[in-house]
Amino acid sequence: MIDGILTGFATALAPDNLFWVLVGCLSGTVIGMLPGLGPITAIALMIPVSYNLDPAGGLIMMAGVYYGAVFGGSTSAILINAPGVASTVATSFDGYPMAREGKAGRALAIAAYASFAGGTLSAVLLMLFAGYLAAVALEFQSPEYTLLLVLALSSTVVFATRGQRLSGLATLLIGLMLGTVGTDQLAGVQRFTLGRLDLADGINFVIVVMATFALAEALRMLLQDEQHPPQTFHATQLSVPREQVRSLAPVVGRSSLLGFLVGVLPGAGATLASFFAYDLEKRIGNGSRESGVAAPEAANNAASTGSFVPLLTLGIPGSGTTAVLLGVMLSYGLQPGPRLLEEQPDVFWGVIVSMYVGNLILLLLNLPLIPYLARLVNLRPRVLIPLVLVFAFLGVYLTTLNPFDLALMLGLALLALALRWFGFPLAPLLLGFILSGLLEENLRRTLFLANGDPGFLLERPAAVVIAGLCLVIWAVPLVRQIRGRED
Amino acid sequence: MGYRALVLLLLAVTVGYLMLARNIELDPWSAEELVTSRTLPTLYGALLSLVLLALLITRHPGNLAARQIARTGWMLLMLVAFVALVPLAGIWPASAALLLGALLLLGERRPAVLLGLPSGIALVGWLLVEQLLGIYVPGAGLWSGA
Repeated sequence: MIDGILTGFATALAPDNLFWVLVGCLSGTVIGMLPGLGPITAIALMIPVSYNLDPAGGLIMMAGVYYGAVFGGSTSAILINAPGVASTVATSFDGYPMAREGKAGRALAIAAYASFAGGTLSAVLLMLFAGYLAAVALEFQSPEYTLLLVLALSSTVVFATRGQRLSGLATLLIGLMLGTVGTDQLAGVQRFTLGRLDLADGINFVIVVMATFALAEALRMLLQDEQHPPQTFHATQLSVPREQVRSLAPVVGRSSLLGFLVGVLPGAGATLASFFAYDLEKRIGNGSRESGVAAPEAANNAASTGSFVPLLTLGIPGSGTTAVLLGVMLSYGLQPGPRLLEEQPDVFWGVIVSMYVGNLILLLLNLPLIPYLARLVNLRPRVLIPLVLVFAFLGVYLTTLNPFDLALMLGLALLALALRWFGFPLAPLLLGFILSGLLEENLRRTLFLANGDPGFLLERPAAVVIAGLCLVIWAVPLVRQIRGRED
Repeated sequence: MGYRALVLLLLAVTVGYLMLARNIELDPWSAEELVTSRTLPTLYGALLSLVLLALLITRHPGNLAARQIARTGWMLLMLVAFVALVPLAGIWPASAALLLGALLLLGERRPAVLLGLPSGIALVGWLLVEQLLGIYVPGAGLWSGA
């Protein structure tokens, strides 16, 4: 493991990779700060840039975009009460009132320090455990992977916000169905291509990501006509008194640990982590607004890092964002999972170590730049929306160079807009789309290995444990519903 | 479009998907297998149909408040025109035109923004992508006579 970590530091600290993590953090922060745009949109918009880099550089940059966008999202949540993503909603509960009381700078500084602490602690835990988990996962074969994929997909539905489970299941199935378009890799037959050669290779994941997040989000902003009052504050406000740092340290510690553990669970992610941490602090903490900002910020950044555990060690993304990162890895020809550690240790450890480096850069770079970057939240929608539209189309066209894909993207964006309009969550659609091929491939291999004998699974203890977990996560909400604890 | 209309439309598309799934051609060898190219699409389609039916009879999940329907309609028309324009004019002029049209539609009237942003993005994009990175981008049919 020590060798791996040293390899990771050598990769992450290479001047070109350091440059790309810097670019990732900065662009992620800038895009994440724009009202309405979150990490998935940020990653989607940066995909064309990543295609011009080597795999290690590209993934390191994308990881930087991810936690940069999570951090940036808290700025718009605090300053204008417009959290770009669900994971920063909890930050706005106390952050926005602080901004209205004239403490915007302090709230932003607390958010920056808490994010840094959460991300760093989580990166250390990731460094410690990723290698061991990957070693265990080496024993996994198609049956275990099939069940893990079912677990990840099930978790997306089960852990969805109350009232969104059925609609989440619908969008998950739509994603799985979109993933079946194209040539069936195992049998060589074309499915749902309607005779079009443009669809023979399936739908490029960049199209689905850009359509469901960047383009649909811009159209939603247009339709809702969101306006936010402009905000101003001064750089001198960016300080936290020493006694407050001492009182917030335990809050950040427990929230980071909680965030990491929740982030590791497939389907749970940063949103659940931030709400858990906020709720925990309000129950057991001193109830101050400062701890109400620190707790969700530490937790969501820790969870963002934690969500890389199943992605890098098992090749199973637990959230929409890590599903997009999986798509990026697959397009590089990399197969995330335990083999990545053996075959591409520089990529595996480079990405992990870059999280620590990236969090440090995020703090050193963004804290002094906050007063200037924060002006972006005042960017008028009449300029922001056209820019997002054009960048989304450019991103797809420069990736596929096919005008048909622009039309396909527009059609998918309209579908995504309609779904979003009526409260359907879109992250399960993305997860289903990206995992569709993997699920089918592993399921068919499993059945081939089993030769029609269902008892085959019982001979594989890990498969039995994962199947048990699947049953448990489906059973818990069902039992609670039957007992009448839920609506 | 109302919530029920959306769910019914999705249901209709799903039924079409299921019909296409039934018609997927199988070779004689894989037709004997437990799971074929048809199996999972059929399963997904059937499950989605059930979920959509359940969504039809359960309560309305609520929608967002629409304020700018006409403006969004015009924007969609502009996007369709952009998609049609790309093969004719090329991606950079089409992008500049889309940006200019969208800025005007949304009420931007500052000349510096209206002129600078579309031309700047098209020019920087062309320089960065085609000249600096050397990425091949298909030319425009309108200018080449193709």
